Amino acid sequence: MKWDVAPILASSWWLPANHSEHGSGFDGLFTLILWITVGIFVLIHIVLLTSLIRHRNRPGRTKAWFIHGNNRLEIFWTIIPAIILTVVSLLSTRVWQSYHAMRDIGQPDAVRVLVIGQQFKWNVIYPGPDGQLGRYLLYPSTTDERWPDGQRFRGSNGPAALPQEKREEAINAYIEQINPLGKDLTDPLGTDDDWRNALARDLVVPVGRRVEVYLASRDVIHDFAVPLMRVKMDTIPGTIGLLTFMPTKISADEPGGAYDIVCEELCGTGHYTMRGRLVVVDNAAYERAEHVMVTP
Amino acid sequence: MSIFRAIFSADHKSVGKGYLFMGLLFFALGGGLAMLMRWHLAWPKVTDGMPMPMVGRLMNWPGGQMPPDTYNATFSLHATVMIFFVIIPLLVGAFGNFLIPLKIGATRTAFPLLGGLSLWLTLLAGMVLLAGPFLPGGAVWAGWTGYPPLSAMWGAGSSPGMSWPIVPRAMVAVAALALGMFVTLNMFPRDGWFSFITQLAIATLAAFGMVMVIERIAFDGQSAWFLSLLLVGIATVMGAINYLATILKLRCEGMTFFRLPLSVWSLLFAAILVLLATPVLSGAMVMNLMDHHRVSSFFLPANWLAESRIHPEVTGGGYGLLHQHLFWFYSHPAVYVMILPAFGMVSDILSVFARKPVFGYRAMVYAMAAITFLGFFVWAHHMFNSGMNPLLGTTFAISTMFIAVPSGIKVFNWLGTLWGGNIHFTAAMWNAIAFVSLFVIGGLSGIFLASTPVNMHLHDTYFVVAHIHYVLFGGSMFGLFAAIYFWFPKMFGRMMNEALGKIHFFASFIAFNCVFFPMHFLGTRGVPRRFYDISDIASFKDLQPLNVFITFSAFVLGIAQIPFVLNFLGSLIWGRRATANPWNVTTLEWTDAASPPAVTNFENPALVYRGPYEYNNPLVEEDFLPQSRLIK
Repeated sequence: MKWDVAPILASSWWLPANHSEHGSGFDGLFTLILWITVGIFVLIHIVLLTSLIRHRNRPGRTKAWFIHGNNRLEIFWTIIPAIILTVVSLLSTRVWQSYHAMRDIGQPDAVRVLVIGQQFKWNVIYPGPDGQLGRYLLYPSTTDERWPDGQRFRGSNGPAALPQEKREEAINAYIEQINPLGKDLTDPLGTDDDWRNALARDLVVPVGRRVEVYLASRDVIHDFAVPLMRVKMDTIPGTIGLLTFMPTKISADEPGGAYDIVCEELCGTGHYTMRGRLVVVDNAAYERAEHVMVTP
Repeated sequence: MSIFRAIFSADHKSVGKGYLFMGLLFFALGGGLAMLMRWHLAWPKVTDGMPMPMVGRLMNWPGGQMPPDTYNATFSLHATVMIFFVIIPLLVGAFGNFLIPLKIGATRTAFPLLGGLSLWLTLLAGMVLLAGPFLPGGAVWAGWTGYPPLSAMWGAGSSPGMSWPIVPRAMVAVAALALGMFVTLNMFPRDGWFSFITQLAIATLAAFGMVMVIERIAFDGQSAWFLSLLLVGIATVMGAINYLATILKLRCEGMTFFRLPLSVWSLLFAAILVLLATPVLSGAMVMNLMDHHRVSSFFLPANWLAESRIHPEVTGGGYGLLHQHLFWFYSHPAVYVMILPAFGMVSDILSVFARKPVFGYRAMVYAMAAITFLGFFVWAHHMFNSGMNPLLGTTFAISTMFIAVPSGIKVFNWLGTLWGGNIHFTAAMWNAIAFVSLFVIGGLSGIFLASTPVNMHLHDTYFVVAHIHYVLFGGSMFGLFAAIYFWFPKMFGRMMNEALGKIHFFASFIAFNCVFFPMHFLGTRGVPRRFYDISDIASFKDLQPLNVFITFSAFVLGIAQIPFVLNFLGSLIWGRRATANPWNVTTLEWTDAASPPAVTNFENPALVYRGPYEYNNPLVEEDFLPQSRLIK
């Protein structure tokens, strides 16, 4: 067992670097609250320690003050914290609203990407040249007459044509072999989506452009968090969430050339292994990249 | 048979002591689980060469290393045990039952049977929880928040209708038998061998039925967890009804509301919170159990692909966020259930040892009322990043910020109580002072988490772990230690050892801060909580040495509890005999008999003339003027 203090002191204890447009506002708020709370903490502890020392029981001191309160003092220390907290609330609200105002603007150059969580990997689906995503996570049910792709599978036109006890197993095999993300193949918006190699690949986005990450999940709640982008949102099975940010720096200088995507919501045994890579590249490299090509 | 009568007594003092012993046993268990977790987090890999001692070999873990699913079970059980079976039972169950009638001058609680029932039902719930790890599907895995759909999945190799192994069955059977014995002995209070055998037979039959039902409902660790929370919820509601009725109806002559000690006020507010919030949790647990048995899909979506397969038996259409809303609608008020009684008891203790009236008594009461009221409007601050409409976050951020105002009033009034006092530093007082200091840190870190943008970075990181431990360990647990040192003489008629008490306090206080303060830094860096291993992640691996430091501090914190255990058990037997009022307190429980008489509580009918905090009142020579003393 080797243990000394140096590596502890060498590690950074402060916020990690921020490489998103909105993050500086968040960090500023963090610093402001830190100063306010440190001030209050110091003030309270000065008073506490002073009274413990000055008003301790000692020889010759037998009486304490007989007072039941002081209305003026109490009103003072009700109103002052209320004012401070109002200011912090208003500032928080302002920063929060301006961050979320981003997603209402609907900028035409925004990059869209669908991220689907599953135990314990991320699927990354690009919208293709049209920039529009199709529908996903629609799986065959045991009463369907046809398989979603219209082809025959296991010698049948659809799960309903199979014997009752074989349907579930056939659907599971179909999902595993043909359509793991439940893509709706009839949706015209999705025909050019790049979805076939979605499992556990890099999430590549351009620097300086709005990124819209649509969040979904196949099984349980995951959480898409990129600490260096100051973003975090749960993926709720059955719904689609939206997370926006704008990277301000390419990730080539990072160790491994990518920002870590971490799952921050307990999702099962392999929760701690569920990580992804957010690769931020410059715009030219993004346009050249293979993943925006059509893969029919 | 008289021993059974003593154990299964419905007298509020026995029930309170029963809660105390049960809570402390669970505290040892929860603490042990924390030690296992910390050991693993410091040396997360087999290659570290630090396999877990004893436990690793006993459990036959590969390389003596805790597997990830066991780690998930460990923190889930740690949190559940500490919250539902340590802090709430100790603060509300032990001290609520023991203190309320004594402090308000009542001879008993309003519903003694309900009070005892809540104790024995809590024990049954605890055994159902602890049976979980022994079931075929394995221990609970979804954390103490139990978010579906993760919690709706089935443990490996388990399915409804499976029969239980002998060990968990015996655990639950013993607790069910105890519950049955309590009911039969108190419903049919008759002595003699024949009636005893009849009572035993009825209790056994009832226990048999209970075990049958529990086995049908709980078939893996997660469903046992749901059922356990359902049962413990019912038990706390029983207790809350009892406290409310007692405080509202059984106050002695002269005991007006504004002459109640703050500890009684705080228990009154805690009871209101329990009564209004717990049914929501119980509802959520029933819904979860139904989802778990696949007879409903309140929280399960259509096209659910859990364990990489479809679930045709799930009709779908459910919404996972609904569970979070229901759960936090209970669990945020539950935080106030866990802290308000500590507020009240600490106020009492600070006033006693500062020999000075509580500063701003009425403001303290109104502040607690405000916290109780606002406590119902802040729950979704746990869900800012949950996928809930983010603009809704603003509402909950503002209500959360404003709950800091009454909390601040309380802190400043405690400072006002100490200022100008004649402070006696007993073990109880040190713990009460530490409570104030540590609660301030826990409260202030709450402001970071209340701010929606800052929360986006800190949510579900170690910052939250630091925050809850400053509130629930630094706050509730230190408040509890203060209360135990303070009321032990009244409960057991003997004094605790002051020197051991102070060793316990200082060691705990220093180690506690070394464990939990560095977690703020881990969280600021973004390290997620509930993580089995961070040493592989480029962003966090430089923090691993800090994890080792935290673990060493945690071991010191664990060892620091040994003086407390020795002191508690030793004082029960060898402690100096306590006089009626060793601390010179003004309130009713101290001013009558040394040890409260079994049935009547008071040697003379209680009568109250004034408020509870008349210390150093110039009307009298001594530095305290009891509530019950008549001055001509």
